[in-house]
Order: sequence, then structure tokens, then C-alpha cells
Amino acid sequence: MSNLIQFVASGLALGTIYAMIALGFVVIYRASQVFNFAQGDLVTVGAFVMVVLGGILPWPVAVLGTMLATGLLAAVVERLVLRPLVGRSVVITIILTIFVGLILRVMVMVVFGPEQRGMPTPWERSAAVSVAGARIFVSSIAAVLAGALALGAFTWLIRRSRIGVAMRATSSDQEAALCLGIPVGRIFGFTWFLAGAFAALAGVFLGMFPRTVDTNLGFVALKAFPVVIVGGLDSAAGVVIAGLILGVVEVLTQGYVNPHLGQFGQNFHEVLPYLIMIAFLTVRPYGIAGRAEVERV
Amino acid sequence: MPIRPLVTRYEDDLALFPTRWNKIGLVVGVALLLLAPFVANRYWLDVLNLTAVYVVGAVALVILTGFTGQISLGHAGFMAVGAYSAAVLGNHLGLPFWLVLPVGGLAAAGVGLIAGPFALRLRGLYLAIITIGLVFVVNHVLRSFPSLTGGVQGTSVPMLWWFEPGGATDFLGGYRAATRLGGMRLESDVKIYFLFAALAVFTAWCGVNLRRSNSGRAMMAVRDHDLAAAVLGVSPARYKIIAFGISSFFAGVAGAMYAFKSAFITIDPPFNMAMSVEFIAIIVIGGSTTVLGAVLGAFFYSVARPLAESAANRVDLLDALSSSQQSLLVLALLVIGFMLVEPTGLRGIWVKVRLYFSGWPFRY
Amino acid sequence: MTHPAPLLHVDGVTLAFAGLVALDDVSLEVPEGSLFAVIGPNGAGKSSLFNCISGAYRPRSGDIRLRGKSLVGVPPHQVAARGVARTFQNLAVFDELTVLSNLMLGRHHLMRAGWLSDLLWLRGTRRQEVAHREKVEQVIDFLRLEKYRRQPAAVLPYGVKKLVEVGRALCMEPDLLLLDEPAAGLNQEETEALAHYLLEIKETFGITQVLIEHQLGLVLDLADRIAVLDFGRKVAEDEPAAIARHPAVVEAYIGVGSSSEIDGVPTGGAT
Repeated sequence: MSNLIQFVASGLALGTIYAMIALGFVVIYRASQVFNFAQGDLVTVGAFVMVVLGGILPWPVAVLGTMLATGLLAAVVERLVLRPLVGRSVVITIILTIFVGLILRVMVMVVFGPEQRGMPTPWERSAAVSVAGARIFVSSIAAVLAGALALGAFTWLIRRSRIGVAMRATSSDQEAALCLGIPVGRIFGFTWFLAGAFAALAGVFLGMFPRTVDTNLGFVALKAFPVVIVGGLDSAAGVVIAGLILGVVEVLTQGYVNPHLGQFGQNFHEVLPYLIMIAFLTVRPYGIAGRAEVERV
Repeated sequence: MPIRPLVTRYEDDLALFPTRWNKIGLVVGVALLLLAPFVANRYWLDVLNLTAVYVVGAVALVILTGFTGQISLGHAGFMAVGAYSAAVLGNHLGLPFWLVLPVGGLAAAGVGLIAGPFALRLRGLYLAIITIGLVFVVNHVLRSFPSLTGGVQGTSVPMLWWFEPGGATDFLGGYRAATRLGGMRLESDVKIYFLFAALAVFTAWCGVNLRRSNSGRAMMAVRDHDLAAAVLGVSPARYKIIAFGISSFFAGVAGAMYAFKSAFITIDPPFNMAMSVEFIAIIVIGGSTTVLGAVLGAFFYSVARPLAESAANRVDLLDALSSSQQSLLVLALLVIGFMLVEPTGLRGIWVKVRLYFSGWPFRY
Repeated sequence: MTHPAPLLHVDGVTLAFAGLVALDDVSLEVPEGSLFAVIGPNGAGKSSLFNCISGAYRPRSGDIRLRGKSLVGVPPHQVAARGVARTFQNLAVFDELTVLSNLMLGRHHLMRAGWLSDLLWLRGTRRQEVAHREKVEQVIDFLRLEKYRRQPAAVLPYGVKKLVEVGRALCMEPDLLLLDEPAAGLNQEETEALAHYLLEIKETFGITQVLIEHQLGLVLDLADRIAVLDFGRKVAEDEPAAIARHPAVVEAYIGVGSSSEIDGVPTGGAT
């Protein structure tokens, strides 16, 4: 029982991180139909920025500063590299963002060096609270809380603010939005800013679990792909739910299923999200909450 | 100057090397290919062998992505299947290399035909993501049978056993047997070179054949406008599957070649996302829709990479990077540069140069 | 006038998208060898009708028969093999292929060499390329496309692209040719040339044509029979002379209050 609670708690924390990364994909995709393969590398950038800022600023300020800095970097990338290719085919933007990600990763290595760093935390690293005999890490709780907070802020932004309305207008019809005087280019930039900020937040908490930060951190974004597909590429609510579900499923699989599969079970939990994704792509390619595209000729 | 002779029969119009200058170029090219291994030192011979692997892999990707418009990030997965088929068949069944190569290709094609049907339902982005999944699944399966594949430890490939009479007895000692062929001493590297060069030429020739015949045209029609293709009688599903099959076959052959060359292989690295991305970079740099582009891209990449690494070694700032990271950085900058400035790649530049000289000395 | 058995029989076809009715119980009979025109305002369902015939859409009810055999549920590539060719309203030439390759694609459904033969450039493939090239050259001759043969379609002027698309459909040697606004965007001269080609296709090649067109003048000149669609319903079908005077046409197509005299087209049945 205590095992189960422990697994679910860390699954939820992992799921929150997936959800934040996936949210970045969705925000950019809805505005500009670009799927940002560099998202994982923004996570890495965020984690490293936090390592530096966390050393000189109070923790909450450092987190906000990290989100701001990473978001700005993402917006700059959009302006320099993506903007000139607006409207080009999906294949082009896929390839482009993959290589933007490569460059970001190498830049991190050049700036911060290849060594592993420790992620600063305001609480004792392995601090945990006891719930019904299960030890739950403070970091897990913080990740879920911060995720909920960020999601709340995001929802407010989309629903209530001027720029949120502009974003929604852009996602439903770019040309019409442009005609109404919405600066569509700047909206693209802003969506990248948001995606960068989410990625940074994910990086901050992701760095707490292996307790070290290195340049391979961004590979976790590869596991956010299944989350995006299962949740639905155009649905923020969908990917949050899918993120939480897949996070919990992954940890539970690791705990309860892997040991029974013998040789095949080694790291099976790492492949499982992909198998779930493949199943979804065959049965329901638009995800649990996405809209089916009606194709008209 | 390259003047086209008057074409009087449709048969002549189909020739690959129609003009006298084309034919001279062909002869020079073949001569260079034959002489290269005797001129190159061991280091550059190794680069050339790697180039051949890249050529085969890149042409395979061009058939799928360039001709048919199906983006795949699963190329490394197909290559892994080819490489491990070669290793397993060589180690456990003792099959000769000339049988292992096509069988490795067929094994990869089998996986491609399993993945192909997904491509029928999914386009662009979804296909890219599901092919990433393919790499993970393939690698996981390979890791799950360590008795065959060596698992994470990797496995040796009986390359020397195939290429050198006494090689099996002195496996990793760096012993290189030489055989005599027409009075010449041929080292195993040189033998691999001739095998690989022939495979690369053959693959490129197949790619060109596809492009100039009905199947290739159908693939390009599906890429450009699938409904328009369908009303012409082209079944988009059929040609996507064919493209997946052919592409993964050659990717498997490229994987087997990679295994031969390496003599010892592991799963990840090298058969990971980075490898898939490498091949995409090669075809983008070369010009992604033609065989010539793939070949140019492969040559450029394999030659530019060692040069870039030695250049990067002189820049203190980049010291922190491993050599593969340096080459990826160079590659990434090149790809982005090409996409922003010259989307038709090296082939586009070549066409422009040729166009300029075809009117030489007159400028239009 | 005799009534030969219809080549194409559209029988009570209804098509709806998410509640929006695009075609409502439309019936047509297109006799063999005729040039049949479908007119109507934008959004009247003309292109949807073509999409149903060529298999891109599946009608909700009704039947479409070619020589008595139903086409409903047959995928587009098999409809092509049964002898139906079409052009698209928004050009669908393959931009990156040369004119020659575009036209050779019209021969696709007649080519028999398999992919392996193509890959290895075997004799079957080589022979096939030559044999079909001859037919393609006839079409090139007919449409006077000689000087564009080796150019990629992307660089061609708009009018030539439209011709290439018609040519590609001709290369299919179809029984039925569906032309979706072939004259849209053409200038006066190009339109006249097109009209000449369409008549020639009917007279010399004997290919049955269904033509969607906005230029009423062209339609009245060319068509043997005209159907009028409005809001997915067939509101009239008759000979050109009668159509030009039909009140439903005047209302739906030209607007209420217009005189029965259509710009430049005498309506006295002289055509």
C-alpha cells in the first residue's frame, strides 16, 4: 500500500513535468502549426540557467528569472530562425526545429561545460513527508504545486487577457487575425516565450529527481511526444490529463510490471508510452481531447 | 561544351549519359573510384568507406522522404535491424557476406512494411513522431535478446572472418591479412572499399531508375498532391508502402555495411535519434529530392566532418565538446543555413553552376 | 434527336458535411459522346459533384453509375482505371515534375511493369517508357506543348499549366473527362484556344465531357446540354438555348431583375 502511494506520488510529479513540456508543444502548435522539436533542449537550458541563478538569488525569484530568461531565448530563436520560414511545409519546420535543438544543446555545453551540476533546492534534497507510511519527496509535492500554479496562470492568460484572445484568434484563422490588426508574428514569438517558460519550469523540477543536471536532461522531451499524441496536439487540457496519466502509468509499470517480464522487462517502462502512443495513433490519432481534422478537398 | 546530340529515338532520350561530355565524365568518375583506394592513406580510405555507407543510407532516405514526402525519423531503427541481422546471421549461422547484405536489407524491409501502414493514416508530424517511437521499440527489442545481440554490451561482427582468410584467429589484434589479386596486395580495407563502392553505385543507380520510371513518378505525385495522384489511378497507399519497403531495404543494407566496417557494434549509440537526424541533415544539405543530392550530401558530410573537427579543435571555446558533438554543431549550422538561404541544397548550387557554364562564354 | 444510353448516370445523389447539405438529390444523365455542362453560383455543389464521381467523397445516398456499374465506394485510383479522368479547379499539376513527367503520369493506370522492374530498369520498364512516350507525344502535339516538354511545371505560365492538366487527363484515354473550371483565370485568347480543344476532344477523340464553368458564354457555345445547380439542388436542365432563358437560371446565376439578355450572348436560340 505504502509502495503504491509512493509510486503514484512520484508518477504525478513526473506527469506534471511531462504535462508542462507538452503544454509548450501545444501552445506553439496551436498558434503556428509548428511542432517544436527543440522543446527538450529548452528544458536543458532552463535547468542550467536555474543552476546559476539559484546560486545567487532567493529560490522563488530564481525560478521566475529562469522562466523569463529561457522564454526570451525561445522568442529570439523564433524570431531569427522560424519567422523567415513561416508558412513552409511541416517537414521543413520539423527538420529546422530539430537542428535548432541541437545547437541549443551544444551552446549549453559550451557555456556551462560538460560536467554534471547539482540543482539548488530550498529544502533538504531528500526531504520527504510521511503519508500513511509512504515517503513522499518534498520535491514531488513542489513539482505538482508549481505545475498547478503555472497551469492556473496559463488558463487565466488564455481566457481573460488581451493577448490570450489574440492567441486564440491567431490559432483559429491566421489571415483573419492579421486583417484585424493582430500582430501575428509577435503572437508567434509570445507562444515561443510561453513554451520556453514552461520548459524552464519543467527543467527546474526535472533536475531535482536525478538530483543532477547535465545536457542529456532534454531527452525527457522525447517522452513528452507520446503525451502530446495521447492528449491531442491541439488540446491543452488533453495533454495535461495525458501527462498525469502517462506519468503514473510509467512509474507503476516500472514498479509492478517490469520485474515480471524478465529480460524484456528491462526498461520496459521507457518504451511503454510509445506503445500506448502507437495504439492511439492507430485508433484515435487526434488524441483523447483533440479535434478530428475534417479534410475537405 | 555539353551540347545534347539530336535525339531521334525515344530510347536515346532515356539514356543516363546522353552527351559525349557526360560519357567522358562517367569514365573519369569510374577511374577515380577505382584508383582512390591506392591513393588514399588508411585514414582517408576509412572516410571513403564511411561515405559509401552514408550514400546508401541517404539514397534510401531520399526515396522515402524526398520522392514520396514521408518524413521518417526512424532511419536509425531500420539501420539497426540491418546491422544486427548481419551480425547475428554471421555469428550464429556463418552466412557469407554476400548473402548477409541482402538478408539484412530484407529484415529491415520487413520492419518497414510493418511500419508502413501507419504512414497510410498519418502524415507529416504524426509520422515523424511515430517513427521516433519505432527507433525506441526496435532498440528495446534488440536489447531484450542479449544472447543473440549481446544486449547493451554489443556484439562483434564477423567482418574479418569474412574478409580475411586468417582473420578469425587473430581477431582484435590489429592483424591485417593481405591477399594477392593479380599481383597486387589487397588489404581488407581495400576489399571493403570495392564492395562498398559497388553497393553505393548500385543503390544510387536504383534510385535514379526509380525517379525516371513510372513508380518514382507515382511516388512524387503522391508527395505533391495525393488526390490528384489518385484520380490518375495512382494508389497512394500502394506507393507509400512500396517506398517504405524499398527505403528500409536499403537502410538495412546500409546498416549491415556499417556493421562490417565497425567490426563491433552496440545498439545506442550509434543507432539512435542522432543518427536519424544525421541522415536528414545529409539529404537537406545535398538537396532533399534527388539522388544526386543524396550523394553530394553524403560526400560533403563525410569529408566535411573530419575537417570541421580539426578546425573546431583550434577554437578554445569548443574544447569542451566531444568530436561527435562538434560535427553535429557544424551539421546543424549548415542545415539551418541551407534551409534559410539555399533550400535546394548542394544540388541546387550545382545546377546553377552548370546552367551558367552551359551558356559560357555568353551570359544571359 | 435520339437518346443513346447514358455513359454516366447520377441518380439522386445526396452529400452532407456535418449537417451542411452540399448536394441534395441530384440526378443527371450524360449521354455517350456529349459535352455536358454544369453551371451554378459558387458553393452550389458543382465541385462536390465531381468529387463524388471521382471517388474522393462518398455520397450519403443515391448512386453514380458509369456504363451501368456503380462507382459509389470505389476508391479514386480505381475510378481512374475504369475510365474517368478529371482536372481540378485549383490547379493540380505536379509542380516539381516536368511537363513530360506530368503527362506520363496520365499513362500510369495503363503501365504494367512492377516496382522491381522499375528499380532495376529492366526491359519491361524500358519498353514501357518508350511505348507510352509515343502516346504522350501525340497529346503534346495536339495541345502544342512541344516547347515546354522538359520544363518543370512550376515555371509555366498559368494558362499552360491548365493545358498540361487537360493534357494529362487526355493521356489517360478516358471514356469520361470531368473538367472543373478549365477556363478560370485564362485570358480571352487562351479561352478561345481551350474552347477549340474541348470541341476537338469531343469530335476527334470522341471523349464524353462534363464541364463545370463559370463563363456562361463559353458554356452556351460548347455544351450539348446544361444542368444548373443552386444550393446543392438541380434547378434546371435543358438545351443551351432554353437554359439561357430559364427563369431559375436568370435568378440563380445572373441575379433577379436582369434582362433575359445575357452579356454578349443572344438568347434567341441562335447558338
